[in-house]
Amino acid sequence: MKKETKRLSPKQTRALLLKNAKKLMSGRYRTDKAELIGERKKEELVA
Amino acid sequence: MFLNEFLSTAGLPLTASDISEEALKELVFSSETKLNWRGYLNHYDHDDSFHLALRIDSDENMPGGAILGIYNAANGVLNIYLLESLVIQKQEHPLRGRLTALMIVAVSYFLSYFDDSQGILLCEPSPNLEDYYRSFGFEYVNNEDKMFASIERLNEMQTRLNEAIGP
Repeated sequence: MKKETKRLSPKQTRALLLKNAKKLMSGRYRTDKAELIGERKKEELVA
Repeated sequence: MFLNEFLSTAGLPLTASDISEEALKELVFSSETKLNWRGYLNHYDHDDSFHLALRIDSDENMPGGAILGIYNAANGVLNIYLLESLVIQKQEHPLRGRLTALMIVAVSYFLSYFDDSQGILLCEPSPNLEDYYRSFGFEYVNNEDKMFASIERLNEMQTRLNEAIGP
């Protein structure tokens, strides 16, 4: 976790994210798989 | 909320908000949800809780996607404990396939306000999406069922994306 590059300020981060909004939300970065992170319900694990 | 400005810029008819108590009840009691939302109620109530619901404007309490995490000030890492999309079967839904990317945008923005923040930790990520997570800069942590991306890696990915040619 060592920092090697200058980190962006909140303003720079916001500007970069907004600039990328259309690209990041395009089909290229969309997944067809189920989006799940975390612990499943027990009934899901049994099934 | 910044994420709503982001969604508007991307031209997506979605709204982001905190997970309300009503929405949390829906997530806990619904037979549609696959994750153990009930087991993380204390995380929702935690002082450093980070939670987000995404839905189409006209939707009711149940969001199309929801995210729950906690920012660990001791190590500067935001742990994502639960992320669930409920629109996988809805081919035309604007949130389908985009929840993970939206989580990364929201958390990147959130972490930018903490001088000592270090990155994002995904707890129990879906193995089927390993390559997808890697495309955003995440790597497995030792032999644990967790993936981590540093602020620098997340920024690097966004910078590369910005420099990439084409839409």
